Amino acid sequence: MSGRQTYSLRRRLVGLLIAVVALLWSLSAAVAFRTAHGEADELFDAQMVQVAETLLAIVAAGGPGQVAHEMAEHQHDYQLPVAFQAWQREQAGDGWNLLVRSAEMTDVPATRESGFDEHEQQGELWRFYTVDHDHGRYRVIVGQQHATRYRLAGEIALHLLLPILIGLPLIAIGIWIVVGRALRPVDAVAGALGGLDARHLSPVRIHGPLPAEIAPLVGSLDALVVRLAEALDNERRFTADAAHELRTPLAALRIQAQVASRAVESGARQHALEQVLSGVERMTHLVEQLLTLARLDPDAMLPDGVCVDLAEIARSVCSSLAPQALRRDQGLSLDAPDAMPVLGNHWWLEVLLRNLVDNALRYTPAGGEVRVVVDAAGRCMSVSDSGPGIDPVLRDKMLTRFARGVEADTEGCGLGLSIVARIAAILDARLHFEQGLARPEGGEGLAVVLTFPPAIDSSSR
Amino acid sequence: MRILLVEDDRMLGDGVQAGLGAVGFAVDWVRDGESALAALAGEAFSAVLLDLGLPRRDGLSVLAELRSTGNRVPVMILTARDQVADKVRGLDLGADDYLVKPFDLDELAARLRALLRRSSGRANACLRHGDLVLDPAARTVTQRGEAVSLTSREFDLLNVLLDSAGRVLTRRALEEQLYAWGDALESNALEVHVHHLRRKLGGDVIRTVRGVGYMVDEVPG
Repeated sequence: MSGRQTYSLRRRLVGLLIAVVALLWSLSAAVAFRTAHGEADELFDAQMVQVAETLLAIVAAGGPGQVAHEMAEHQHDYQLPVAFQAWQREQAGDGWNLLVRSAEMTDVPATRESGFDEHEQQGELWRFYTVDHDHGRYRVIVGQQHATRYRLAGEIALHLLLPILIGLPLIAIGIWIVVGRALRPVDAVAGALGGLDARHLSPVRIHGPLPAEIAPLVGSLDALVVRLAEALDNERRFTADAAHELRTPLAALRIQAQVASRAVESGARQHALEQVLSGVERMTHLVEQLLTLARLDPDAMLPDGVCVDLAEIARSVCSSLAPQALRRDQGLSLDAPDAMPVLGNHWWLEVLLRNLVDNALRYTPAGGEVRVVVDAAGRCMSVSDSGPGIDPVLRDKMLTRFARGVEADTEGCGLGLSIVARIAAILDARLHFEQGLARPEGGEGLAVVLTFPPAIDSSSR
Repeated sequence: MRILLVEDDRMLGDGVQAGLGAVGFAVDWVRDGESALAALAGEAFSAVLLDLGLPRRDGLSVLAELRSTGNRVPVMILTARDQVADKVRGLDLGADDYLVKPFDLDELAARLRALLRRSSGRANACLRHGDLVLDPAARTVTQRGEAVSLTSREFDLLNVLLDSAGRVLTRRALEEQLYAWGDALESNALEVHVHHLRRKLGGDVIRTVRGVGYMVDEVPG
């Protein structure tokens, strides 16, 4: 994880969920506040009307003394958050005489409007209700501060919000625990992956059922682990085989050189020196083959769509290997058409064919026969020999590196067929084994058959 | 000392056979696991040099089979596998030593001598019989401090006899220890070599047990 920024899924989930819950709750509180405020308005307005009507009735019936008495009595019972003025029209003219007022009111009429009215008074917003009685002889103004209403609505909203303030942390803890439980399989996968041993790769083991969201991840990881294990195994086997193949001839060289340097008899020394020389030849062949294998990098493939003539390559390979066949009294024959275009690289096809023919010559006893057939119509090529052949059961194994037939008497190093298989794979050609030529002592040798894909030469278009 | 070499590589086998032969070992060479087991079932060897990657039967399986039949012949593994796990497996299966290829001929011979020495329960590299001292590594024999000149066969015969001091060795056992397969076996060659040894070392070193064979008494040096 070095360098990469990480974040906690759990923390992020808890944060997001809490934010969403808080937002929804706040919205509902805001709506509740508005509704409460509206309801409170209606309620207070109704109360103001009622108070005004009552006051008016008292004033009309008994005069200001009665009002003051009544109000004082009632204010003890329940705090009326209402201020009032009661006025009587002057007998002559338009003036009004103040009959009675509550403490918050001044001696000036609070409003000139009848019905409901709102305006500021002494820096506060007030709501007033004015009602007249007896054809305008009496007037009662009832007023209330808006702040009182806000305070009430605010109290209602606060009561709604209070559970949120206490509940949010509880919800956060709950979400934290639930998310943690839900993410437990992820931890389990991480733990199982961390516990993997590079030397003994095995599929990820997790106890219990897996959530559907994580199962594909584990499945992909398992597939990757299996592929990795195979690749590692292959490399390990290759290293072990390479160690054997490289060290054995080196050991032989060393021992033979020591024997030669100590031999008293000239015959023994000559024999040992010949062994040293043939050991060097063997090592040379092995190193060449290893280098060839290393160079067969599919990424290094030449541009697509270039055709080369397989028949021509077969002729050149057979002619260059003919002396080797003649030396061992082997028959090497080629049956090829004038031309057979094959998609690929000249060097690769030459390496492929040379390995096949060389292998056939190596494994075929002296006096045997090797036949190369290039078939343009069937788009295939075969190299058959009258050697010992390979047991059908073992044929697939022969494609692995360093595999050799049971009789290891030949100088082969076991890389030839794996080189052939690699090139065939790069060229998209199918490689399979068939029965080869009849042997004089009975049975059949081996035939290696390569079938090439149709050649579409873009350069001739 | 007769050694069985199990090695599938023709050139290496040839070299080891020639190299060990030059320092007095009689080396029989087989090239696969089945032949190794057949050879070990039929004849007695002083030690086995065993390659692991063998055709027809793997070296480790040959070793396991050998030990399961109660054969206690000293086995040295010669292999290109140098991983510790391979060594541990080989030694645990009953091998006595482990040499990784490529190895030195002198080291192979020295380890082989050490192996033979241990298997006969000796700690000292030299064999002693009174004032007679035989050094298997230097291939020299001294008597009363003076060097005695012996032919290669005479030396090997004396070596085998001293190694089994106190026991009677039959003619057949002696011949098996001295000659590898294919070595020219002259009739009464053994008597001739014994005769020469007696002439050079004195008549009382090697005793003839009539009708059975020869022996050297156990005389501490």
